[in-house]
Amino acid sequence: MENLKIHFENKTKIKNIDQITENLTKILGSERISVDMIDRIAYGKDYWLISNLMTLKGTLPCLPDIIIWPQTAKEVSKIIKLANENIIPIIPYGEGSGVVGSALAVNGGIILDTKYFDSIEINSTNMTVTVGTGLNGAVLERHLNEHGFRMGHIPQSIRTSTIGGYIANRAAGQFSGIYGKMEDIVLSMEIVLPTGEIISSKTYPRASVGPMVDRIFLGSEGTLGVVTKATCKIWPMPEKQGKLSYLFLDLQNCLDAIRETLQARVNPGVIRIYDKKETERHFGETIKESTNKIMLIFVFEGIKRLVNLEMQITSENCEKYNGIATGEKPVDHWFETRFKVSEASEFGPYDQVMDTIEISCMWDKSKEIYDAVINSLLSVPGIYLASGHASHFYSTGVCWYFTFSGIPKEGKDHLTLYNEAWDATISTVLKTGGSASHHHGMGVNRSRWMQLEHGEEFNLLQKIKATIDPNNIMNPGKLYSEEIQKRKL
Amino acid sequence: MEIIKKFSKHKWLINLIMSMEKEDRNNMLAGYKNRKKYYTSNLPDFEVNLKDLAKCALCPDMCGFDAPCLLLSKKTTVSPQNKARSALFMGMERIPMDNPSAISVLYSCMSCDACKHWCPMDISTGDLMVEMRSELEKRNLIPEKLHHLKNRINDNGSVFEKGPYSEESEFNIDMPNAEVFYYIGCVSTVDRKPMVRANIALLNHLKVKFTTKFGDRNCCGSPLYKVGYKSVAKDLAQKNKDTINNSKTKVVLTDCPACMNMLKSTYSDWGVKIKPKILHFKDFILDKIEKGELNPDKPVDKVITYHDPCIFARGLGETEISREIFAKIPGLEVKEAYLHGEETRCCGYGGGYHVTNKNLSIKEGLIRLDQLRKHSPNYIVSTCPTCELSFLEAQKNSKNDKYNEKIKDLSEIVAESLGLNF
Ligand SMILES: Cc1cc2nc3c(=O)[nH]c(=O)nc-3n(C[C@H](O)[C@H](O)[C@H](O)COP(=O)(O)OP(=O)(O)OC[C@H]3O[C@@H](n4cnc5c(N)ncnc54)[C@H](O)[C@@H]3O)c2cc1C
Ligand code: SF4
Ligand code: SF4
Repeated sequence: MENLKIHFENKTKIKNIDQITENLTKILGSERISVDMIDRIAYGKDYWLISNLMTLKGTLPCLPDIIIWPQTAKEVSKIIKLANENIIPIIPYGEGSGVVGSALAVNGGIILDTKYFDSIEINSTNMTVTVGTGLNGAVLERHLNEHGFRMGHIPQSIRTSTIGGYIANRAAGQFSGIYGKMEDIVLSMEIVLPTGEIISSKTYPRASVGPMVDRIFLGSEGTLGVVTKATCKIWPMPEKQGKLSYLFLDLQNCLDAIRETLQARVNPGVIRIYDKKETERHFGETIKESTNKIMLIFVFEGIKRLVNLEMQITSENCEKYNGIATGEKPVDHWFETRFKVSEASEFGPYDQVMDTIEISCMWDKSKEIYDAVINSLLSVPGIYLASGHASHFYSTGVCWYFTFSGIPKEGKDHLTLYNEAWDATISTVLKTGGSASHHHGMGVNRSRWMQLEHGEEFNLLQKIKATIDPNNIMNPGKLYSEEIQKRKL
Repeated sequence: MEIIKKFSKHKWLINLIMSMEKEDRNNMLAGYKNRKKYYTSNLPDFEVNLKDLAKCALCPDMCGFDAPCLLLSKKTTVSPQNKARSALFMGMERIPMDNPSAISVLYSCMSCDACKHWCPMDISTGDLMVEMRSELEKRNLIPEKLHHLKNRINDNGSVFEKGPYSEESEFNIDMPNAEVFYYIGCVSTVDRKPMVRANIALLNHLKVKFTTKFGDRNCCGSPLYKVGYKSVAKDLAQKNKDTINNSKTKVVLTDCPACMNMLKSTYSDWGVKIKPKILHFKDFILDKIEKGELNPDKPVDKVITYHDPCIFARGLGETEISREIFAKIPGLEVKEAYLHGEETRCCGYGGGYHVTNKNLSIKEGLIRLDQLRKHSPNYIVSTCPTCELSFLEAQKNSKNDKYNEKIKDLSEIVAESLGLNF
């Protein structure tokens, strides 16, 4: 395919690839392994947004050497042992919806597709579901709904992502207010370690039995092993869903209304605020009175009496902070459009650089960090759009989600502008005391801030990685290495 | 400015453009003006909608969870998004058109339109794959395992080894002054004879004069068109037009959604006009019941589960007619599969998938059969001979002997309730 270029070109070619392929075939059979170029091209990407421009220009983000589809933890274990003997990278791959390039085979190697891990087992007494981690989130939620349950983890990408991906990134769903982030949902896991051992953590409500080992695999982005099974919390279908919306003139007022509500232990499932620009973008056509205001929407779920009470307390807090009630219509509009992801497709071919950046911070920095990030993004020459919304809230703080867009000015290329926008945002966030990512993870794009994010913890993380994965075969080029901290993309 | 007109619906965007610095605005407008470079092919005579392919290629597979192509194969390579990406690369000459693996990706699709149903941009990857396949036809690149379909059409007017449209067939009926052309589908003639007999019994019961014109019949062309033989399908369209229009009938009745869709929509897209009105039997039956001409009043004391064929449920967004008919039949109890209506699931036989991906097609049939068995119905009912054939095959392949449902067409149920012998 001489007409395709490769962005992260793999410099260290696998020497004995035919032998490796043959040995893998012995483990997997011939149907579940491929070295075909068409598969390697397909798996040489995830949804790191800058790679959309690459697709248009005929550049592949990367080109893995081998793709495999194991079915059991035992197969994974054998494969990992083989990879250790030959020092070949292994990159777990769910559905490639990760947006920071964490599933990219930047050093080549074997892509391990997890989609065969798709079992579902419901325990309706304990209210848990034990699932294969390659299972698509929406397939699981649909199955649970059919049986009267829900997990309630609904990221916008639910239709195109897996349970393993959620665990590996500590993902957050739209209803995180009630159901929590993935780290709140997962109770236990089966993991194949980078040296081939298979470990399973015990499922318990809570315990005090020394450190919680499996927790380090949450957010590990495929660097510490392959998670093959997970037991998660589930819930009955809610009796009532309640909707509220308010418009605010002042962002601090809006934040205060939410903070007081959450600190009173009221837990709306969905809370979303949109700054003035995003309110115009998302609600301008449907809610005329929203012009130049901040939109706040809530969705409540649960037992009717409880929901009614929660709605009442929330309304009182919004009114106290001068919120203007706007009824259910904005919430209905959000429900209708929440999976309509088309902007990257529509505007991608206009040669734009765009992306979204989600970060988190404590309440006392919430307004300051929003202002600082918007200003720093707009100070990058070529960036003409910077806006934000907040979509996950806690009694202690907020997740901000920024969107930027621009076109490089004379002489600069797209990637340079892209990196400048990211640099401006993350350095501002870290300086102001926020965290570099709330749920998308670090990947190739953000790992360069791992050390700054973690401080002294970083050395410990490096040691843990070196101990668990002595040959650095699991998803190398992400999170830990010194070289990544200085990475030029 | 073109861009302002185009985005007049997006006021926020216009405001943004207006508020930009001059250099930024010029850059943005230049990006907009040059956008077509990313989806303009230099390949001679390349006609596929590359703009939609590019949009789909840039999408994160928002339909993936319901796309049977991906769910079955577990290969990202053949997800709707990645099929579009491969096709874009082919159209832009980044992957050669004659690459056999890329070609097989184009065929990893059962034209079920699940992708379109969930698509925020109303794109059907299935339709785009059909367009791509006809580019293969132009370049003599259609895989060899499909050549027999074309050869059979040339030999006997159908995709079967032995032509079903023989003058000796029990279904060759030609009444004088026929008003109705019963356009019997190939699969119906060969594999769904009870359904055809029920339809004939219904027409006789209504004393409708009809013809089937087996002497002049040909396949509607759908199976050929879907696998890429567009030019062959177009020739068939002309032949069918002549046969139907010369028959002087007023109504064409089909028993197959694919035939109906071809005669009605695809032919007319190609400028081939069929004069008589085109109806599927279910439309005809409901109309007759509503007019009081059909009165299905004998109880059918059965539990049924209805399978919505993709073409009706998703292609045409029509899911109610069959259910309205069931509601009029005494004794009949409809219990729905969890996935029904527009959220139906493919039977596995669409888009030539059974020929190009036989094992996966069989697996898909089994999956759907299993979903339809949720309430252990007496009958699994559909309105498509190909779906019904898929379930009959799935029953044979199923290892689960707990079930003993029968596969029926809606017409058979109506005929049963009318007390007809067929
Ligand atoms: C339109 C869109 C909307 C999104 N919305 C949200 C959102 O609302 N909330 C949110 O949190 N994220 C969101 N994301 C990001 C993304 O969907 C999540 O990061 C998701 O968790 C990735 O899952 P995946 O299966 O696609 O993982 P992949 O992209 O395939 O992989 C991501 C990382 O996880 C690792 N991994 C995958 N499976 C395993 C496993 N079994 N064991 C070990 N490591 C594994 C990979 O190696 C890789 O490092 C969105 C993405 C898109 C494109
Ligand atoms: S069909 Fe639509 S939803 Fe599916 S991948 Fe293509 S653009 Fe995305
Ligand atoms: S039409 Fe069906 S099989 Fe084809 S790409 Fe769309 S979802 Fe997949």
